[in-house]
Parts: sequence; C-alpha cells; structure tokens
Amino acid sequence: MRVIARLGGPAVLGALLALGACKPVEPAPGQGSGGIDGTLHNGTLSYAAQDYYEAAPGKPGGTLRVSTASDTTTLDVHSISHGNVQWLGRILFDCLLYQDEQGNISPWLAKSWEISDDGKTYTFHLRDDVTFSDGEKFNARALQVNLEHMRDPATKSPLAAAYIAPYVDGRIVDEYTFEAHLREPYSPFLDVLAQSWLSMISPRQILEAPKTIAEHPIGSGPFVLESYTRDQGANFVKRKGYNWAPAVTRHQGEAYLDRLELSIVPEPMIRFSTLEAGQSDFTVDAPTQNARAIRANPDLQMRSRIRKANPFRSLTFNVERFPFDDVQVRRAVAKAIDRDGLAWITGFGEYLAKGDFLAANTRYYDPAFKDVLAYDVAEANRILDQAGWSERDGQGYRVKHGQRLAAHLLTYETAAYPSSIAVAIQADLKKIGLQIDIDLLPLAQVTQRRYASDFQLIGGGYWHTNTPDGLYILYHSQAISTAKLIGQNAGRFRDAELDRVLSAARQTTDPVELSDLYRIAQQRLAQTIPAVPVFESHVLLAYRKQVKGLIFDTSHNTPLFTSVWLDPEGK
Amino acid sequence: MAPINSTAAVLPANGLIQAQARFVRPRQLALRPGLVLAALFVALLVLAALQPGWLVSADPLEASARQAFQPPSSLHWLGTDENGRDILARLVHAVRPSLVLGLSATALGLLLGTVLGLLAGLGPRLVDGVVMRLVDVLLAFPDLLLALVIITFFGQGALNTIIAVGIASVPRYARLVRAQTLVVRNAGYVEAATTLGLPRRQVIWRHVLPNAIKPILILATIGIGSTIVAGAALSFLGFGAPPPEPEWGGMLAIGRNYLANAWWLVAWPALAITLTVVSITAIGRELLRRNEGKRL
Repeated sequence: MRVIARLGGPAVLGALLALGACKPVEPAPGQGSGGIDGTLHNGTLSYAAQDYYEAAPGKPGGTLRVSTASDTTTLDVHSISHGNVQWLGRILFDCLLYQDEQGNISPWLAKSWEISDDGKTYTFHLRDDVTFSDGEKFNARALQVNLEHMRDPATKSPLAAAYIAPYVDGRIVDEYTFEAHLREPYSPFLDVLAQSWLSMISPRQILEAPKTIAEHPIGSGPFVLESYTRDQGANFVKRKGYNWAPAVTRHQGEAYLDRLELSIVPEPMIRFSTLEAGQSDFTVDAPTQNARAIRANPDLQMRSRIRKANPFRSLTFNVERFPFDDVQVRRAVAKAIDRDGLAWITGFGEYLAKGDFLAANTRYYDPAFKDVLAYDVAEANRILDQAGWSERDGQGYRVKHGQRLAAHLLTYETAAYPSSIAVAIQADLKKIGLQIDIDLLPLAQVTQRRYASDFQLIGGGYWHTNTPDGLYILYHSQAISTAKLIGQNAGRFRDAELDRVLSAARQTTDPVELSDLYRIAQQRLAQTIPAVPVFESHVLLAYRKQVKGLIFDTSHNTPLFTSVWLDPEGK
Repeated sequence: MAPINSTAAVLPANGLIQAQARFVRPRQLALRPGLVLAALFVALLVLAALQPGWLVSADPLEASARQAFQPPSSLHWLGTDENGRDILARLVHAVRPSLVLGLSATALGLLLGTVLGLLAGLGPRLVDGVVMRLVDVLLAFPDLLLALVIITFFGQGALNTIIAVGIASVPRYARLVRAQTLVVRNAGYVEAATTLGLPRRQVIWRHVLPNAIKPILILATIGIGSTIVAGAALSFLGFGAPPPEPEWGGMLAIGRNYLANAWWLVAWPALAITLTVVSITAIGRELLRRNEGKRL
C-alpha cells in the first residue's frame, strides 16, 4: 500500500477498487422483503397480538434520542396530513377511541358509546379523570370544541375535516356525555376518531390562543412539549400523573421515559451513522439502503411494518387529460411498470411490491385481484396496439393520427419518491413506446398543481387510514376538490359503480355486507385503474437493543413511546 | 537534443523566453509528469466532449432497475448507478455540458468584466466610481450565492446556469481589468503612442487592451476550473439539468445517499470533478508562470 501511496492519484483509485472487492455483491432484485414483521398468508398480512400490548412492566427513567427524516412544520395535528403525526400525535395527545389488535373499536378517552338505529346519532360516555397539561378537564365540551376546530375553515385541514365531513353538530348531554349528529350514516366515524390526526387538544388553547397550537400545543398525552425548533427538533418530558393509556396497550400509569429528544435529520446516511455510533437510540425513518447493515449489526434492531389502506403509488393518472382518458392506455402503463425493479432501487429488498389497491393488512382486503395488473411488457404492447396506437415514429414512440403518445410526469424530490423512480418509470414506459418527460419541481408548486389537477401524471403518495374507507377518500367522485373542499381525488376519477359501492359501505356496519362491497370496489379499481400501485407503504424503524418495551399503534402501525423504556445493559 | 538544451539553459533568460519555451520543453516535460498528465487529461476531456461515442459505447440514459447498484465489474467498469445505468458512460457524456458551461460562463464573465473594467479604468471619474461601487456590491456576495440568486430569479436550465455562473464571475474580472488598465495606461509605450498623435480609440484597441488583458486571459484559464466546480455545485443542489440528463454534480447529489453501500456512485464523479479542476488549474498556472517569465 505504501508503494502505491507515493503515486498519489492512482492510490485513491486502487484503494477504492480494493474496497469494492471486499464488499459482497448486492443481491439481485425480486428476492422479496428482507424481513417484514408479521406473517403473510394467502396474500393477507397479519401481526402477532403481542406487538400491540405491553408484556411486562418496564423500568422508569432515562432519555430516548429519536431521529426522523422530516418536520411536520406545525404541531397542530388537525391542520396537516403529514405522516409523522401518526407517532408524533401519540406522544403529545390522546384520542377519543383506539382500535384493538383486530381493528375493532375499543375505548380510550371515551369509556363507551352507542349508535342510534338510523346510524346518524353517536352518543359517547367519556372518562371523568382526564386532564390536559394546562389543567383543563377533558369533558363533553372539550370534545365539541375539538370537532369544531377540525372543521373550522381557518384550520385549513386537509385530512381531519374530510374524515369528519358528515358531522353536523353535537349536543352536550351532561358534563361527560356527548351526542354527535351526522348528516348521513357514516360507519368509519369511530375508526377515524382513533387516528392521531384527530387527537384532542386543550379546549382553552383552541378557544383562547389557537395561533399557539402550531408551536406549542397542549394535549393530554403521556409527554408534554418542552421545546420545539422548526426543522431541527423537539424535546418532550414525561407528563406527571398520566394514567389513561388505552386499555388495549395494557400500560398502567405514566410513561417510563423521563425525556424524549427528537431531532430532524434529513440525510439518511447521518440517521444511520448516528444510530450505529450510539449517538441516537432510535430512528423512525430507517434508510432502506442501510437495512442490510442494520440487520447484520448485533447492537441494532430493525422493524418493518405496513400501513393500512392505500399502498404507495408509482403514478396517479389525470383521467380527464390525454392520453390517460383512455383506460386502455392506463392499463398498458400499469402493466409496463416493473414493480419489483422499483421496489429494489428504493427498498433494497425491504419493500413488498404491490399491484392492487388496499394494503395487505387492511380489513376486507381481498388478494384475489393482486395479479390483475401484473408486470407484462408484451401484454402492455398488445393492449396499445389494439387501442389504435400501432404506428411508431423514428424514435420508437407510438403515434396515432399524427399525435405522439407522450405525457409529462409531475414530481418533486423526496426520500420516499426519489427522482430515480421517475427515471425508472420513464425507461419502463419507453419500452412500450410512451414518451415521459419528467417535471421535477419544488414541493409547493407540485402541491398547488396537484390540488388544481393541473398535470397528466403525478408521482408518488400513499393514503394511510385505519379503514378501507381510504378508497373513498382517494377515488370517490365526492373526493374531487371543489372550491369548498380539499379533496384527495387529484386525478378527477369518477366511476358510477365504484361510487355506489363505496357510498354503500359507509351506510352499513355489517361485516358480511362490508366484505362484499369492498371486494367489488377492489375489483372495480383493478379494471378502471385510476392509479398504479407500486409497493406497500412501509414503516421502517431501527433502534439500539437497549430500547425495550416497544409496542405498535393499532391504527397506524407506528411506534408507541408510552411503554418504551431503556435497559442500559440490554442486548 | 541534449546539447541544444544545455546551451539554452546557460543562455540568459531575459528576452529569450520564446526561445527557451521552444527548445527546453522536452526536458521540462520529462521533469514534470504532472503537467503532461494534466495536458493528457484535458485532451481526453475535449475528446469526450466532442465525440463521447468514441470513448464509451453504452447509452448513458438506458435504465434498467434490475441492474441497479452493481459494483464495478468487467461489464460495467465503474459499476452501475441507482437506475442501473453505466456510470462510465454517464461520466463521459457529462463532460460536454461541464466543459461548455466552464468555457462559456468564463467567456461571458470575461467579456462583461473586460467591458466594465475598461470603462472604469479609462472612463471619466464618475463612471469609474459608479461601476466600481456596483462591482463592490456584487463582490460582497460569494460567487455561488450570487449564481443561486440569479437562478432562482430566472429559473433553471443549461443557459440560465451559464448566465448565472458567468455573471457571478464578472466582478472579479472587472476589478482585475481595471487595475491592469490603470497600470498599462501610464506605461511608456502608451504615452509614446499618445504623443505620436494616434487616435484615442486606436490607442486603447492596439495598446491598452492587449496588454491589459493578457495576464487576465491566463487567470481566466484557471477560472474555467472553478466555473466547472460552481456548475457542479449548482447541479448538486438540484439546480442543474432535470433528470435523466447526466451531470457530475447531480450524480454526486444522488450518490451520497448510498455512500455506505454503493461508494462507486459518489467516488467516480467526485474523482472526475477533482481531476478536471486540478488539470485545468495546473495548465493555467504553467501559462501564468511562463507569462511572468519565471523559470523552473
């Protein structure tokens, strides 16, 4: 080595080559998921019940240092749809309800509830021992103020407001009894109330100082916010006297940790190396490219979970614009995108490729349609030939009536949807003679054009909710944005049959009927193809083995820090 | 050759720089392999810019997800990138935009800088004051920041990057040209030309400009290197050409996320940028040295 070192330049080269030779060759793609939690059975995924409750009491004390990739930019969970709220909300707040391991509704701040026969009146009986950290009591009035705040136009809620859209008004029956009146029967109402975005904020803060919620929210949760610096991090301290964790978690009393320090680290390399070096204990966004190293490290533990409802999409079509107004073109595109390839370049063997429209662990998921849109380039070419796109021009792109088969893909650079995905899609679609130009724009512009449906193709996105009603949120014609409503159906997809079954599913609570309706919906989506699913929406966690007692949220499959404790000698 | 060389070496250097350069080169070069390598590398870059197909046969845009992240092998000498594209092909095809940016941005900076510098150096005191205060304001911004501001203002794209980086280098050249002009203006030959009654325009064109600009042209050669770095930095920050076009800075930006498991995504473009800048700077410094009449 010393001899080479004298040569200066070439030494760097030689050293690098030597390094390369020592490294094992990466495995080929398509080898499935490295080690997702849970068991796959006939295409549906289930998790062990122990993942959701505390097995044994932990030891109190200590500080947990957590890293995450991005900031929510506000802590008013009602006003955003950011994915971090799934676990961040649970640190600061509580919800009215909680799901159990099977996805049934169970009590949290509400002890019990009744639904009227017409499905339009919900009566909640609330716990009487809950207080917010500013001393305010949680009672029927607090619940009413929170529901009002979620749908207040000033909150500009893209999510919570849509979830409680059928809520008309509420009546305070007595201090701890609340009656919610709905415009129409809406069976997912209880499920959505269990989600972190619909957490309970101190009514005094909402009424007296709503502007302060973004920076310094006051909740009733297991931790209290000590400080928050945008794009840098937040510190939380244990809430003294907390004693109302959901019964499903089997956790008693206060959180075990004294402090929780959250830092925002956008660079994946740094999240990995600080964890590896012991400068942080936990990352909620484990980089997939380092997953192999994390799994091989005896000091670290890796967990991979799947979010319910809508999986990650490679593309969403604007069905009102050329050429995706033709379902045949949409089908050809869906069949020409190599999902295993995409899962490989972003997931490094951690992602499960996905060809249908509900996550494998969602209630009423039916795996019967998972191969309808399977990768098949020959078939995709045949479909386009049949659709009249049989001519090709000098560059190999298809032409019809003098018009080239071409579209722009609107996207922005993010860890979940790096530009390499867009480039891979571009290369895949070139093989079937469809020209894609990539428009890589800043997030603000993409968001604006997304809500205005000003695109042909838009990249990325998933929609996680704890009920299959996520399909309504994304593909029902009522979910198309209007002047009054921020809708998530950005591709302006409308299908009468899909509308009918998704609306009917909101009217009933009968499991057999729901199972039938959602089966039809999934079948219909596989035929009409408003978007192209690509892989499951994964939650990837990594933590040091000193971290004990980690359990998962039943709604979001994200970590619940209430029961986490630190074992200094732990291995 | 050897006797001629030794003869040349004992000759007084003064006034014989030309002769020395002509005769001594082979021996000097033998003593300085670094300079030869630099020249060879620059020649290779020019070839890559003109005819990339002669150096590599692979298509720099051909992506295949299943071929992604392959380490260097006999098939892909430098490995494949995050989209399964051949990194060597992308490096070679990225030379043209880099060199075009380096040359045209420097040319633009030089042109505008010279005009402003001459104006300030030869014009009335008021013009000098105004131009130089403007240049001072621009100098207060770091080059790259100025380029960023311009790009944010005019939008992305190859031409805008050239304009941004070019304009960012104007203040420096303007200052140099002005200083040089002030020196030349009072030189004996200029005074002589003026005394002989040559028109002012001709004095400037024939005597002031050539003598003022020569050292600056050489500094500009070195400037090409830093312009290429500035272009790569902009591309690294996401202000370069949109994907899938190959660009060294862009390749670095994406590759750094995979440093722990696929070092070759970062190593090669980093090496390419470093070698390019070092080579161009080495040649520029040699020119500078010769111009100043210094010997080894």
